[in-house]
Amino acid sequence: MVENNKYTNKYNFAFIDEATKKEIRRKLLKAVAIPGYQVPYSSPEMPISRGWGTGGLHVTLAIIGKDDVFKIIDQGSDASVNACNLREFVHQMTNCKTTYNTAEATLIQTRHRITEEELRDDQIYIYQVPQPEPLRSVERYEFKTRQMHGEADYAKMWVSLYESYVRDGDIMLGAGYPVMVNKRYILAPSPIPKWDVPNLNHSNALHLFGAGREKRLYAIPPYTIVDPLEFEDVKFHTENFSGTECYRTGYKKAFMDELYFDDGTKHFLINDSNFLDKLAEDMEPKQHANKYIDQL
Amino acid sequence: MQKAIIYDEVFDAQLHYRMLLDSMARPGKINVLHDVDVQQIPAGINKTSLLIALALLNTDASFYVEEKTDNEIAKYIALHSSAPMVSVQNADFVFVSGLQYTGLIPSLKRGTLSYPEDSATIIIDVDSISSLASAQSLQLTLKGPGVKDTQTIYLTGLNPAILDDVKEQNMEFPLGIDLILTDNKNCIVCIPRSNEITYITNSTTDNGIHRS
Repeated sequence: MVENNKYTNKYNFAFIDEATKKEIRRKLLKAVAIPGYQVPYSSPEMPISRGWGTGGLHVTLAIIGKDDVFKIIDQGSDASVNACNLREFVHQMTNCKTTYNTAEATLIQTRHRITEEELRDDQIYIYQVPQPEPLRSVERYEFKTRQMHGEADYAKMWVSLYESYVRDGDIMLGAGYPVMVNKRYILAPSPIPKWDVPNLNHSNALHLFGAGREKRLYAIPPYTIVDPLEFEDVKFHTENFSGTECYRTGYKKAFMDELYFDDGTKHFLINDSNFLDKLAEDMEPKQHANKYIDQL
Repeated sequence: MQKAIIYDEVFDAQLHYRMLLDSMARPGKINVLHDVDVQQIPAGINKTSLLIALALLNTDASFYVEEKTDNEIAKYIALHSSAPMVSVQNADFVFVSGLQYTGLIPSLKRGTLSYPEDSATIIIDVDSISSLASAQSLQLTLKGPGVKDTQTIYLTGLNPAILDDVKEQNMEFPLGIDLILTDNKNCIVCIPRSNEITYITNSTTDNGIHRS
């Protein structure tokens, strides 16, 4: 008798059915061909709620194969609860190898951080996006924002940045700072800190964004011009960590977490857990290079 | 009797798709699809183009094939992917021969400003795709997102009128159509609408100079 191994699993490989995978795949090709444009997609039902990383999960599961090595981080940490649960889910559905090591991974899914370690061109970086529409703060209707994107009419966005500067003396946008992709579309780079935004510019890796609740996919291809919005006289700047250093490694040029110990003293710790581990083991991981880090 | 085709719709499709995604993200990069022993292929189309059809098409995506005679290719794609064949103006995927071009590109859909993704993808059969120049090859240079500086490839068996029409249709970014070129050795190359195309026909002057 011929043994049938094909249906030994209860679920299809990578959970999503093949018809829906094909739909997501076709939409991703269009998203890559139109950098920064938000493509509507089906956002199928998942065993976790929408808004808890389903968008990133859809992208990951639509493109993952048997030989991929999967890494997932949540706020820079491999061990956060969202990352652990999704890693376990992807592993159960695909039996792929998973890793904490940024350099070893071929697919990296993330919630709200880009790894400090530089990405390579054989890696795909996947974001879980809560709010894909950068213009939502200035325009509440979807048909209007869609029209604004279509006509590249970003006047309201620029006025809002100007008003922020006039009111507060700085552009008071933190995580998810809006960027202009390929000099055409304004894009919300998911809530990554301003520290990570320059790393999207001319990246080696392909960046894919999935917003499950809002049902949008978008992409930044490698070697694409990504400019943070700034004025001629009021420039974009990253978070200021001057005078701080990681209390474990003494490293200064990384995005830091602020910790308070039991005795009330304040310490800083590198947010990217794998980068921190590598530094602590004297492995000298290669960091992203950009002009903002170089200034430090 | 129609034999079953030896194609794994889960894993073959996934691997082929990853190559396509990589090609679309890095225009001008030549990727090779792994070979699948697909039987009873109709004449007049590259097997690679059929593999792309199997990887991307299903009942939700329509297609159009330009054929002279008895629709063998269309029947094959419809049978194995369940995709509907529609008129050229409504097709999501259009299969075109690189040499026998009849000027259909201006009638393809290229999206609207609000929904630019509602546009056609054309899969073009050429004779060869190479990073080396050869006699009678067309030198194609790409510039734009996904390309580090510029990327040059050499094609044979492509009517330059196709590139002229595509350039014309892609003038008004984000409207436009996206290209996938295939040859008969399972090589693929993608040209998304975001890239600027320049070409020189019969580039016999720089023989064998490797361009990365």
